[in-house]
Amino acid sequence: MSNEIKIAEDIVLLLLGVDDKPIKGDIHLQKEIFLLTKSNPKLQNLFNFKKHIFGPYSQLLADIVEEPLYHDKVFMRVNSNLLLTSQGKSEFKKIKNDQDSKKIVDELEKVVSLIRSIYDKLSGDELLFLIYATYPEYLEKSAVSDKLFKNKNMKKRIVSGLLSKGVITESRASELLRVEI
Amino acid sequence: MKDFVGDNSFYSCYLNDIDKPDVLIIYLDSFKHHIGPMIKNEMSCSANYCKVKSHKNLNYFPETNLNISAIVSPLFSSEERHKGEQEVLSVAYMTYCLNHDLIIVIDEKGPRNIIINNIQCLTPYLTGTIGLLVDSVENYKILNKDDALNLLSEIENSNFRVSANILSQAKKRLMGS
Repeated sequence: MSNEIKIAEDIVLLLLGVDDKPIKGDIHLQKEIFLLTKSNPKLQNLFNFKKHIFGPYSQLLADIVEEPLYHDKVFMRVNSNLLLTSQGKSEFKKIKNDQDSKKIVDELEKVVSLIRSIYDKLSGDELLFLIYATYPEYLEKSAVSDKLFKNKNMKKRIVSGLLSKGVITESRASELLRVEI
Repeated sequence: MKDFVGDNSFYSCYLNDIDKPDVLIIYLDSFKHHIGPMIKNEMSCSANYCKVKSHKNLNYFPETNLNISAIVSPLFSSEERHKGEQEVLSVAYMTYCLNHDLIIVIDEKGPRNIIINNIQCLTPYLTGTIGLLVDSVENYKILNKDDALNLLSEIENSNFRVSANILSQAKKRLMGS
């Protein structure tokens, strides 16, 4: 089995394990890992995000959640929410305590904690909107870009939501309202 | 020694706006400053940069395995990103992860609110250039009251952007200390 797949599975376990709350659904899972990969070119190569109908999408990530190869029975879904099973929590602890990879795991844990503290609070539309506005190259195959960007009321509502949640600056809000696709 | 992460506004205040690199040197003598590449570039545009650039407590923040700026970039406008505001936030977060004894000086409202609303672990360490000046007298004892009051007057008459209310509150605090 490829060591890279184990690393990818470990990263998903870390993302889910750093917070007691579940990840809201596939859009949040895909986009939060996408943002993580933006912090490191090796991670970009590993997850290989592609243009997709709902923004950046990694097939590897989708496969990991549906059927992990290395860690057995670690993920579960409750409605659309994704969370760790008790086995998953136990694997998460093992990853954290592995002395061979402690430095990089510690660093990754801090970064995924930051990602979750910022992006978990967004709705799916808000998260997609922010990702598309920041990485417009992923708009190409989008099935939702017209809904998000061409309806002025929708755009205003999303930007206002992002601002009221304190996730973006006022300057960014003004910029986002001017975004045209 | 406390770690210190400041935004461009703080460094520019002493290097450019009031032309007092000697005060910046007092801060460099007192705290370990961590500077990302964008803030370094901004500082290097100052004629006074040569007076501080080799200070032993000026740490040019190393490239790490993970570039946190990329994670917070979507929150900032392109103008804010150009000024390096996402970089200050990421250097502050990485510094905090290594040491919880730090000072974060950010004057701009945008990144301050991002911290307050999203990265609460950094909030207790957050201040502004003027707040730090008052703390430098009251808590850190690295400036005396008269010098700090004179600096406030110079800042008031400079291009440094600060509200009259913040200046007046700082003066009141200093007068009472």
